[in-house]
Amino acid sequence: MSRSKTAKNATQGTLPGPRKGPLDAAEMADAALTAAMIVALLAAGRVLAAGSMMQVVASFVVAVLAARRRTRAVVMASTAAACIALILGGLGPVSQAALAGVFGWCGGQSLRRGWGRIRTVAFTLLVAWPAMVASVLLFFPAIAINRKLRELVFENVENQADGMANILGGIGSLFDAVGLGIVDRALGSVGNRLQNLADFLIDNWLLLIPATELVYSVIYALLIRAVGGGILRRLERSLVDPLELDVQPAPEGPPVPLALNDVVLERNGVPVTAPLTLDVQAGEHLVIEGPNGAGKSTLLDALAGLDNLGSVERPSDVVGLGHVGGTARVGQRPEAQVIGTTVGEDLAWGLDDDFDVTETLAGVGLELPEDRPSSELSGGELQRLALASALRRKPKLLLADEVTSMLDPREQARIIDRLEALDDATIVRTTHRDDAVASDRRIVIRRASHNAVQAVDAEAAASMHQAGLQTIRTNVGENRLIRLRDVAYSHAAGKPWALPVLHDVDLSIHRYELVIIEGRNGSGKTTLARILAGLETPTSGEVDRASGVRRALAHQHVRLQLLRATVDEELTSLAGVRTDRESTGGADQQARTENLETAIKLFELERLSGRRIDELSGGEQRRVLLAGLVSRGVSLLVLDEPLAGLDAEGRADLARTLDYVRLAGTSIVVVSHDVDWTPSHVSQHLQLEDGRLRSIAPGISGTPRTGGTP
Amino acid sequence: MNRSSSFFRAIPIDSPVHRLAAESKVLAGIFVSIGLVFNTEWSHIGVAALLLFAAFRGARLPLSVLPRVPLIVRFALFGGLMGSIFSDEAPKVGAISLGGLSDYARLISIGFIMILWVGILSWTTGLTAVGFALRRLIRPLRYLKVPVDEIGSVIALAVRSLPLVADEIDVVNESVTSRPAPADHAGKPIREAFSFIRDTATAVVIGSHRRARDLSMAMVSRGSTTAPLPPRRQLRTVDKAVIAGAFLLCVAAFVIPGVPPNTPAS
Repeated sequence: MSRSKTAKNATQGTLPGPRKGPLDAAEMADAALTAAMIVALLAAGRVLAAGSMMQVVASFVVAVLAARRRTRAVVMASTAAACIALILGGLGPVSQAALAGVFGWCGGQSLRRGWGRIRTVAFTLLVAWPAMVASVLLFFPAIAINRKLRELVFENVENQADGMANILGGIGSLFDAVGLGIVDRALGSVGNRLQNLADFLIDNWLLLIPATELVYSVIYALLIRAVGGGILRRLERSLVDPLELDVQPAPEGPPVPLALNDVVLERNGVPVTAPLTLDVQAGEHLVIEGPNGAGKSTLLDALAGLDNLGSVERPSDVVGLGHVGGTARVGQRPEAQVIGTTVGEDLAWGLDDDFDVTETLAGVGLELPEDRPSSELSGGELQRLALASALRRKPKLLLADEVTSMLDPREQARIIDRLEALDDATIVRTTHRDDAVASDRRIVIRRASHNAVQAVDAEAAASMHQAGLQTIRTNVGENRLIRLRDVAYSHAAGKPWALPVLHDVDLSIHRYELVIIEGRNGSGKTTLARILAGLETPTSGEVDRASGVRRALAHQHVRLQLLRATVDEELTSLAGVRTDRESTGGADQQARTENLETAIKLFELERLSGRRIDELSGGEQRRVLLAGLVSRGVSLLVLDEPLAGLDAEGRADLARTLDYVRLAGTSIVVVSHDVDWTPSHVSQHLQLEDGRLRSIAPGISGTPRTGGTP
Repeated sequence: MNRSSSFFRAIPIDSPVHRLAAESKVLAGIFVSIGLVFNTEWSHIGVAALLLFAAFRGARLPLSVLPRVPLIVRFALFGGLMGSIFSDEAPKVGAISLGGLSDYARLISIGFIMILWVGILSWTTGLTAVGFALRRLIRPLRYLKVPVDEIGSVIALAVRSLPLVADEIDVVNESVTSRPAPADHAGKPIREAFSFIRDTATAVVIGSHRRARDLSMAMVSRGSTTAPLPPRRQLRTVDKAVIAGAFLLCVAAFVIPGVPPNTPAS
């Protein structure tokens, strides 16, 4: 028996072995994210009144999970999603979530085993169709066991048919009166048929419901196979085999000293770092510096034993990550480091002890109630909370990846002091700020050599720019693009719990301007960005726009806004350019095509032609997005937090590119919490504080605030 | 803000209903819904509607929380109304069928009452509290060998990720809908819809894959994949009363015959 099982698994290629028992960390995370996606998609369906379409999308998401993970993960994900879906609208969404799970599982089996259409449909009919029928008949709305509701529904079906027949009859007799008896007879026969249909439905419901669901199931199965297969192929090309990761055993001794001996660290099988040689002695405090893409995070993950196993020499093979007296790690993205749903739950996760929440939080300068949901915390609070959880483990080795990036200078200094005071712990932390203290050992790592070639490329392209002036064609005729007067915005305006976000905002933006709006988290800057981009309407005040002005918003998460597989497809889709060379679009189409050619030059995308989106670096992805948006003929481009995670070189690069775009005729608004950025020309430098906008000293470059054309 | 993450945020005011334990609200909602959906007479609908009204007032919710009915639903409701008015169901006053109207009104009110019950739960209870309540409610199933800790942890992590994922889905939606019409598919609505679905799903899945990777690493960094037990909640007397009352009402709905009795379909 176990033999046949092994054989079966062998045919499944890269699938995980015949493991049993609880989900490991990677499976658990995939299941939880899938559950969250199911619920969020169903919720989005409710908002957009496209519920059933989103249910189909939800089943694709499950199919992807089922194709890559054990059935146990699918069951867990669907169960959790069905439970949470209760708050979206009761039993209806619960059954939608559960059915998305069943159909997704069937689709996943088909994808994983490479079945053809017929086998897929047959399997789905065997498994998912009975589930769907059972759900309708017995669970929601439980037509089979709920006689009264059934009768009420049928009564209404019958009434509707009669009513429609009567209405048609009435209209028919009007036609009859003017001598068009044929219309009368036709309408009468339609009415009769409606009534017959209603009677047929009512008499045969127990057959008809399964029959309808049968048709649905077949369509569903084919859709999942077609679309799910497409998604899966893109996932496989862009990502990697499913991660295998589980909790590490408790440490047998201290996890230090560590050594790397001329090793190249990889991520997803691709070399990331230059050959590294490094030794870390007990009690040392190391600060690792280096540009984006040099592999700082990859190095920390390797030290944590999460990746590149075997590349680090350790005293025993045990890292003891997450255990008391072992290794503690805080990763980079703050919202990803906090895993509990509340502050208290996050601090308690993984440690079974009694502790004082207030005191623990005070150690990192936080003052929060235990039951505050983590989704309500700011980036800086999340970073400090994650750090508090790490420090609670009294680690012998602390790995901290950019853990003060969201803190203001005072809080940052306090955290650094706290870390410096940990004398008996070895600390390895990365930073993009110059915050190492004298006693720290500083290590600078450089990019692997293949990246250097790209830098040379960029320089060559830059010199090319200066050769000729580029112009983006827009339809705007006036100099002033947009003017906000006395603009105010409240969340939930008009309700008793309305939350004012913006007050008395006055702002004019002209052509050829680069405007910087800075503000801390929660200052209302994202709302202002959305108003400027036309995605939100102010609660009060005026927004005057120049005629023909087109606006666009580039969100912080670039990857989410890129939808196609390759750079070329993405650019034409973003710009709305036809690729079949049919000139039905007229002048606008012509302008977009020309704009796209210009933008490709401006953003130095020529050498990315033919590449896949997922192969690109974050900076390259952003350039593709901006180029596509600009080609649309956008004359006002709003960028929300474009500086996040960029090193000095990346910032300089962004400043240079945006300046070309500005001179080509698209005005730029940059909204950011990070002020450490110096483009060569800043027309207006504004600060948003508590929802009020004020002009601060002209840009660091010394450009006077003109408010007009250059 | 008409964004999907608004589903997961309670309305930040204080009221007796807000202070009820999430368990009481979930259970009471389920009991009342079962009592109503299996007993569709006017008397039962009336009682459920009264309870709903009381809960709504008790939660100090203003009418402005009510969501707007989408246009397409309004059209459908209007069509149904016309059909019912001109049906032949007795009693009739002139051309207007009161019987038809009554049947229609019963069906529609049941639908609205069910939706609004859930609305009160989500307007008065944060997602986090609902997550804790769900995890406490499934705990007794451990005696049936159901892996409640595992399910509970997945629920906890899903609740933690939900606002982030919902925001991501909104960004993807905005990106899809703000694009110029896919020119290559102009005049081919099915292919257009197909590419819309595929693009949306792929972007959402790829975005969440990165999150899953981060999440698994964060869990390993805590040395455990099991969420801590949800904080104990001692049910107050009022919570117990609400649960017991809703349960008794549900039983009563089945025991006490409704008036006027259902007229079976011919």
